[in-house]
Amino acid sequence: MDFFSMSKWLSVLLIVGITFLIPSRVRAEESIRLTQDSLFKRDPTFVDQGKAIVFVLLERPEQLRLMKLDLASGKSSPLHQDENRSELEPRFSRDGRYYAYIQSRSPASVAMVIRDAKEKKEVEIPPESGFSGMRSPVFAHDGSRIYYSFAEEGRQQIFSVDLQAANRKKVVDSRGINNWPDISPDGKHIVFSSTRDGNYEIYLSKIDGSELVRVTESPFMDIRPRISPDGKRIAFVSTRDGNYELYVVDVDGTNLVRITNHAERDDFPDWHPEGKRLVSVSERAGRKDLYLFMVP
Amino acid sequence: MFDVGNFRAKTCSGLTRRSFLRIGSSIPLAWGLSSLDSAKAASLARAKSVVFVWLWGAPSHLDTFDPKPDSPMEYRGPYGTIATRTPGVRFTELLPRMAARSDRFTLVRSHVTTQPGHPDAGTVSFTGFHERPLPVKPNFGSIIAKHRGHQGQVPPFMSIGRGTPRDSARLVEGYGGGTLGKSYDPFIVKCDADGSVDIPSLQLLEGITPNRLVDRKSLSARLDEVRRRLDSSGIADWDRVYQHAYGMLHNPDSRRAFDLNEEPREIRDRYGFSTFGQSALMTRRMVEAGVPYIQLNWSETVEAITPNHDFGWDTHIYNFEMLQDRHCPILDRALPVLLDELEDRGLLETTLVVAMGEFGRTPKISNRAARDHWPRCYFSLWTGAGLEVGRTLGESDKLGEDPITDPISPLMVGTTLAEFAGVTTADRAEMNVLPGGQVIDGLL
Repeated sequence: MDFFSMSKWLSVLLIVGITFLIPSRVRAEESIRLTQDSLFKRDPTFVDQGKAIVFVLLERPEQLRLMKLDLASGKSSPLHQDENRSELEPRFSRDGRYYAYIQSRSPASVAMVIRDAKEKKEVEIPPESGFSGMRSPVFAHDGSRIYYSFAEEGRQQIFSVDLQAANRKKVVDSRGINNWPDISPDGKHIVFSSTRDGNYEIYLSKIDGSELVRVTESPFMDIRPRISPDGKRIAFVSTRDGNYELYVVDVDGTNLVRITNHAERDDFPDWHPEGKRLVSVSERAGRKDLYLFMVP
Repeated sequence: MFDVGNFRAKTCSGLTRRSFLRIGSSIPLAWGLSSLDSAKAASLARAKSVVFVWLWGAPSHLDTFDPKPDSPMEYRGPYGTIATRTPGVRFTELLPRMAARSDRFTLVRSHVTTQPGHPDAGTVSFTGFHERPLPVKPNFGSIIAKHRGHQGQVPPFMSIGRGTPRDSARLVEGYGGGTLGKSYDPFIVKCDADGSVDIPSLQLLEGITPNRLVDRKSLSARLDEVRRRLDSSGIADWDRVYQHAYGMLHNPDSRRAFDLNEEPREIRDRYGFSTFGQSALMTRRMVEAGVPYIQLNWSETVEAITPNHDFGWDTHIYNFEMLQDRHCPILDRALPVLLDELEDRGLLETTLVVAMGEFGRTPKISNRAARDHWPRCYFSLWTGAGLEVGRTLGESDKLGEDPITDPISPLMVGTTLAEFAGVTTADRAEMNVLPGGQVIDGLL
């Protein structure tokens, strides 16, 4: 068995070990490296009940490609083998049947695609004329709608559409930028980042945008919030301690925990469905790979 | 002050604004009026190498090195600001490593250009002049290359990155030799994120690899074949390219200079495994090899998010996402390491480093919550070759819309680079380049 095969099996054994053997509260910073190619990555999201991760890889200098990493085998493969346009920000419905992502179409112009993996059909929100693009799609808890961010009239707001990319509704609207929506497991709340009070902070509201509560307060970026599977905590990225690090906070803004502590960047968190681990894109020695971090 | 030329600003396709470039009334009209006294000129000629870091696509000045935290929300953007090592100067939170090194460079915040579109502004930035009327003027690197001449195995002007800068429509016409001829085009070296290197000019010598050079007869036959394919008008230019390509292939030391695997792993890690990071490492190696002018390109294409384009700084959409997700982390990793390494190796004393794009971006956030083109105000970073550092030069107004100090033009940039590289007023007059150019006095 060569070194790389051995490393792959050791990684699998470590994942199994962490899942079943290690007590639930372990110190932060303990991590497992899931990929080895060191290339630029972003947007990892767990799929298949946590058995796989779909992420975005800068496969060549001109293309971001959707990849699927099977955690048991450690093998990655393209989600759309023949695609030559950049695709990013994939998110899946809970049952895995649908997924939505952003697709580059022409200069500074992107579409949002909603794909039915079972029927192999897709619909899209095409880019508007001129420079235009949707961002950060995410499915409602019951998979009936997709929430996403879109900029018009100088404000970046959060909208939702149905699975046919129709019946658009405005959900969050304020001055500044509203981005990275995520939906609570019970479908009653939406969390997102907003600059309405000056810089990126994390906010929570009811699913219709009402009863807004500010969750974080920092003079630096708090971005990319993700609600935990039990709906009680929010993972996010902040530069409050000097560079990009992962944090977890209760939905009421208490019990802030710093998950990573490294001179290089940790970004793009997503919760494993069992709610005890986060996947991230972390830079170590200049190499960007997927890592798993335990959440104490 | 008086007005020279005009420009229309805003977007790649939608030109919506017309204004005038205001230039200080001291602009000289010919080489003679711009001349420095000979003693001052001699004292400036300290740069054995010039590194021109080309941030193609035009970074937002407000979101990087010239933030306006007290401006209204529709201008200042979403980022916090951080203190730097320069008293009173703040950068956005996206650039902590550069902020920690601000005492090692001079920040210029008062650039203006006359062109609002990328290829045109690229040519002005590379040559100091518009693309039209023809002929296209020579790149600053070509001027320095001609002055230094082709010496040994080292090309005098190298362009490192992904290829000749272009947008989706066309090349930047001022990329190369212009009126000085194609002999002074840049020698292009392509680097990938994994550190692999491609040298397109060696494709002229198809089938010839370093390992096959032992067979000199085979090489000569191959070269003769290539030569026959060229028409007579191109033979002189080709000869020059061939000489370098052959020379580098033949010389083990030259070959090694292009092999990033020669670097210790720890060094390669420090630059980061991005195209720009590994290209920056290659740049340091080329400075060590004595290349007089190196253009380190951020990308080949300007567009930030466009099919088959390599993610330049042109952020008409996703401005804030791209800057925080990709561009600034890459820049903030690689550029500080390049500066550190040049200093640690004793190279910075004789190397002038300048980093800039072709213009700034709209201070007022666009309808698409991004920033469009803004030729009226942008920034540059300068260090090395004995420059006084740890300061700012020039100042923009409270919204970042216009300089409130004397504006600095691309022609002034090129003239200053030339002076530091030892290309005097007399030399420039003899070559018929950079007429009317004036050095940036405040840098001296």
